[in-house]
Amino acid sequence: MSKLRVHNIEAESGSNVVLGAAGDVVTLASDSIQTNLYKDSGGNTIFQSDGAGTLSNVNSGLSGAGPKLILSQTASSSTSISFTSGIDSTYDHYIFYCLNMHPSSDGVVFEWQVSTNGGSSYGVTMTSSAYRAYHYESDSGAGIAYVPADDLSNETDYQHAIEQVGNDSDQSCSGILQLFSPSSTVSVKTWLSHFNTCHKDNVTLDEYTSGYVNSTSAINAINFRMASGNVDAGTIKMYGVA
Amino acid sequence: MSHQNSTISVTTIEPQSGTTLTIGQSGQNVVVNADSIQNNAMKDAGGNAIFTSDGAGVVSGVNSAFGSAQVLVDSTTCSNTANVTYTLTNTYKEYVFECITINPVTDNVQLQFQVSSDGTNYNKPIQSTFYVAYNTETGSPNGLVYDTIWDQALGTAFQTIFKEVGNDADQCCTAILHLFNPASTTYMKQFYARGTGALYHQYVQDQYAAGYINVAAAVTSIRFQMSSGNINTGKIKMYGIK
Repeated sequence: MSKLRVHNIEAESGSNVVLGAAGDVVTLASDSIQTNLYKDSGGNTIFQSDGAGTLSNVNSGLSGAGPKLILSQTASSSTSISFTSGIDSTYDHYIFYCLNMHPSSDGVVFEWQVSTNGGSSYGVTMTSSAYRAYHYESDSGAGIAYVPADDLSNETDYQHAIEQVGNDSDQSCSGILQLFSPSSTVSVKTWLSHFNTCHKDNVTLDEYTSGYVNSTSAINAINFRMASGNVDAGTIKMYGVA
Repeated sequence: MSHQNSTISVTTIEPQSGTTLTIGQSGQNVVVNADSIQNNAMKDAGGNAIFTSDGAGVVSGVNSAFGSAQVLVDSTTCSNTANVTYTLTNTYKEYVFECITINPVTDNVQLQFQVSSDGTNYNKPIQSTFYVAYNTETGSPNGLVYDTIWDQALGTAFQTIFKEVGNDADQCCTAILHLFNPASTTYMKQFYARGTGALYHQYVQDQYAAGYINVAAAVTSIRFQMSSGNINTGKIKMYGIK
């Protein structure tokens, strides 16, 4: 028979229907093929849809390189935001995008610390440097300077990302923190940070901090908070860079 | 010849002749209600490869529309490595090099790079700036300073992107270098880098190198090395930005 018209093709027995043999080409002349789970001949998942267009389990060969979103959390009068899973040896480079972090209190520091015990405690020794450029909206002052109040010297305090964040309804801070090789049990863990905010007195602050977590224990959690009061609003997205 | 039926139960369907088995026709949809479809090569109706799996979950030949704008071109895990050299092409207008958790064999050395137009001579004239924010594990001294030692005025030496790295087992540096349009035959090539790490004398520094390679000819390769001795451990990843 050269043509078969049929509504359904089912397995005669068992659960497999085999189309074609090795070397054959199976052509779907129809407009589309609809299925949720696509695997290779070895049964390895290439990608999966939930039937609503949301893909998961995408093979890394398809997803490409660059930042992969691991988790996104949105604050709502939150005392802090913690990431207690997903920080492991999967990636050498993690990026935390902190977007429009709005404090409940005026003129407070946005800060972070890491954990080696899954978030049970945050207080690992860090050494860091900090400087920032500033410019008043009134144009009455501008400059650049080192900020000793924002650095750490083998201390276990929270690391300041940026200071004096205003809490007017339109004020917030945003920036990125990059953390490298957090799962290393040999090296200190280097990190880079760059944030901008509208200071409570209507000044733009552009702050750069960097340093290392002075521990050879693996880091597996991180906590972000305002030094005083809650994180009223804002989103923090954690990416791993493939 | 055709045959009509609502459901057929079958184990294998193969072409009656030749190597092409056609399912459906234009205007129809083929719905796979099975739990999965398993196949190694996905092509469009024109026979153009979308992706191919090797049956072990390793995907290749991926259509360029998949993935992100950031492509991991190459990656080297160093193990007592003299240098890391990568080829540059006109495929990408920006290259990003992530030098992650670099531990040198020799104490107090520089992580540096140079480029070449012939793959042999790494000695292009570089005009650059270099400044650092610094602090120590004891908290003093600290500050922000331009560092004239590590900039170049059309020098042909390797350009330092992180200086004075310590070689204690836990000491390391991380630096990210951006290089723009190396294949241009019209313009000089701009770059900028930012790095952080643990220096040999227990300083932490946030180091910034930037400038341009003062040649109009295309640069076709880049080399990373320590100023003396090998790279003990660490990873150098080369990304291209589409």
